[in-house]
Amino acid sequence: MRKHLAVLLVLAVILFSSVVACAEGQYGGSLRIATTTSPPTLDTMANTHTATREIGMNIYETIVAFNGNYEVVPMLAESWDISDDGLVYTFHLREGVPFHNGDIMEAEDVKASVERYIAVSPMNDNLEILEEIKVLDKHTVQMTISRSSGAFLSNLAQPKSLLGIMPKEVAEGAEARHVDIVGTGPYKLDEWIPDRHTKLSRFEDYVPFEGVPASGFAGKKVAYIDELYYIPVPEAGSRVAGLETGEYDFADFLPGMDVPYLKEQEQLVVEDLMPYTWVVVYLNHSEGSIFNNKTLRQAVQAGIDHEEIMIVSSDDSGRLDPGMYFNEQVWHSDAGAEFYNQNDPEKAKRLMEEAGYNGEEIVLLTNTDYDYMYKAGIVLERQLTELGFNVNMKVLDWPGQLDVRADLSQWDLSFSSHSTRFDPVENNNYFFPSTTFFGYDNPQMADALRRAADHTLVEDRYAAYEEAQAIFYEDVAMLKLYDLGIWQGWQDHVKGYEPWYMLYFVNVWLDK
Amino acid sequence: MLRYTLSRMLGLIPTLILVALISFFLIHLTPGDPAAVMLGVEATPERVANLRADMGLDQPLTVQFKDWVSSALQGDLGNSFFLGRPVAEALVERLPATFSLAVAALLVAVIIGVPAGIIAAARQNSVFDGSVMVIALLGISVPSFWLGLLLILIFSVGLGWFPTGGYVPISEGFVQHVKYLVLPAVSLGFMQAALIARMTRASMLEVIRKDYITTARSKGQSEFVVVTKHALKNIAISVLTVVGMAFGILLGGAVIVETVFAYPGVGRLVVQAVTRRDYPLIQGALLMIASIYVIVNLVVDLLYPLFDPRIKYE
Repeated sequence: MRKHLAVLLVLAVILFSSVVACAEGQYGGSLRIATTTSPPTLDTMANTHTATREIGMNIYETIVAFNGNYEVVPMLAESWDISDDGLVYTFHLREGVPFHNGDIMEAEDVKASVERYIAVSPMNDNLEILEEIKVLDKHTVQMTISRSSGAFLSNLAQPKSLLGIMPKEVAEGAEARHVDIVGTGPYKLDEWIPDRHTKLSRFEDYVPFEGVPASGFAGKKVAYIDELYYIPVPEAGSRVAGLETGEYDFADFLPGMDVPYLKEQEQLVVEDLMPYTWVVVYLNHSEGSIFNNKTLRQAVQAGIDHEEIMIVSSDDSGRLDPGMYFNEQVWHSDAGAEFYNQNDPEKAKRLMEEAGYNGEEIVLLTNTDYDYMYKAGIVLERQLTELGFNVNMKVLDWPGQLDVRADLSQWDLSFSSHSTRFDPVENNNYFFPSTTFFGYDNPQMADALRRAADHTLVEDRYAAYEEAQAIFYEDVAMLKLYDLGIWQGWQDHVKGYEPWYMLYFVNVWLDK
Repeated sequence: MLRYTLSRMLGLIPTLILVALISFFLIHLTPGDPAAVMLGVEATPERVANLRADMGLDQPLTVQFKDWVSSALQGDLGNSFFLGRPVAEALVERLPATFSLAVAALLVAVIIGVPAGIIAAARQNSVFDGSVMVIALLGISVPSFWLGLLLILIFSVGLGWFPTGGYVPISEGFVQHVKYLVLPAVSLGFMQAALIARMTRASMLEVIRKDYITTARSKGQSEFVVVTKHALKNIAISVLTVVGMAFGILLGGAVIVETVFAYPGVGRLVVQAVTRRDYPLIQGALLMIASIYVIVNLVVDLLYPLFDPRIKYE
């Protein structure tokens, strides 16, 4: 049944993408995009900042890429072979793909880019299983990994700390954040003035992946718009005003309170990008914390009302769902759903008594940088207090919270959120004793995750991740609260934009 | 004069050392870890610890401070953790925008504040005086972000006269430059105008009660001549002091106004540095702001003899 559903979903995405691709876009114009912040760097390899990747995804392309259904598909490699033992990947690169500097992309460039990624990326442990990378000929690269992995291709495609392919002479010796911005993407960098704007212009010599429908970050890409201006406008009210006056064609992260008003404006389109992230509360599992006691963790899980927290904190862009992966993803599961949003105070109180809770102080960490975490913190504090917990909520700024969180003796509950994981392996670090920051240690979970990572077949991996999600709920590893979206608005002359994962304006055009 | 200037400049050194010392320890003692911010929420404790070591943050604070001071004394403010470039370069890049905004805001403040203060004093207890005082009180009390958003609502969204935010350098056209400058300059200058108006009024009230003003009046001179020729000169010192202080503050960057108007000045750079715990950038920026402030004050002091010949720097 699941397999059929997945096939249907893929077909639907391809069909939809074909429709979008068939729609005749218009060339020309400038798009002014009001974002929340300026990128600290445009070196996508050396950084995980959202603003960096939102701009970089137009400039760079990866060997393989995620499509709109979160599946890995060809991009700069038109195909690949995997050896029977799953250890040797041979990528066949597309021919005649130019870089922005005029050079043609070849296997040596791919090798140099991967080597630079290993040297500078904060996520380079994604490729720690890569033993060897060999250039077989101008258009063939072979990568050998130390153990079979279902996530290897995903790691080459993941958009955070993007492994964008750049010319060998640019990649070699370029330190983190000190690299010329040259890729193969449909837009090239024209100008970056921090806090003023980043200007990209169409790469006229771009060679699209013909015959493959556009979907997600993959397929046939067209740069219809002449120039993209990413303009950081940190104040939400100013983004709203600029959208209303027409100074901006697009505005990101609109406050929910302004959405009904903006929706009334004829010239504007306002939609939510759902899902964007899910709101989570980490429980401190270490021996020094009261939540080392599983029964007490279960008490919290049983007693809280997720819906109330969502209504107060989601800015009208939230949904309840138990999945560790979003409903739109192939990895989504309802395993453990019976433990989600129980809202059963009686059960919670019973479990508290069973756990021997005696009014010990519980430190809850939240922050004011992310409004939804602050508001959710206030509601959670009240709900826990009503259950009989003695809660001390500490409100910091985000860096402050991360710092306090690093000391397991200083907290019991801590807010955060999990953005889209394109591959479940991205969550592994939370659950292995050697990498967790909240003292988690459950051999069953570690075993399920190891099996899931090592399998290469999606079906086998899915079964193992479903098992991991069941343990997640049964063991109360964390508290998933709800899926959160963000509001985006644009002028109705902006066509072809579909809210998905992050800002992305390839295949978008202006009708004016 | 030269001797006085040199001795005053030498006197700035302890002030700046104190600023460096306080800002360094205040920042480092505030919870927050640039390595954790840089690596993101999913980072493992081991990776964070490794990056901290790479950044030199695992060293004792005293060692870090010693290293920073010795580099700073050689003119090297270090590299920004997040921007990956020299702090001095990042700060200098923002100075033209900040300077433009400071000058424009000061113009607004002086043009509104000084005449309002003078007229209010000359017509003490009149409706005008009362109005100026109420508006001045409002100007000091109203948060600048609120005033900024109100100006955007009226003059950008409502009337469409000015853009909602942004910045165009003067090199790209004077008219555009001014167009983008007006609203942030007004919202920033309004508060300073209020302060200047209050100070001017108070000084003027003190002066116009002096005997020489009474003498001038008894000679039959008009009120206009009395105020402009006799009184104004004598309040110049106090007005200059408050204007100088205002300019120093404005040059230090206008954190909130720059954020509201998406204006790429020093203030916004500092905000980002603080939210990312970019220690070298915060320290460098604070040192620069403090230096500007004390230098502006020194220049104001040196200007005193121009307005009052009795003041002589020997």
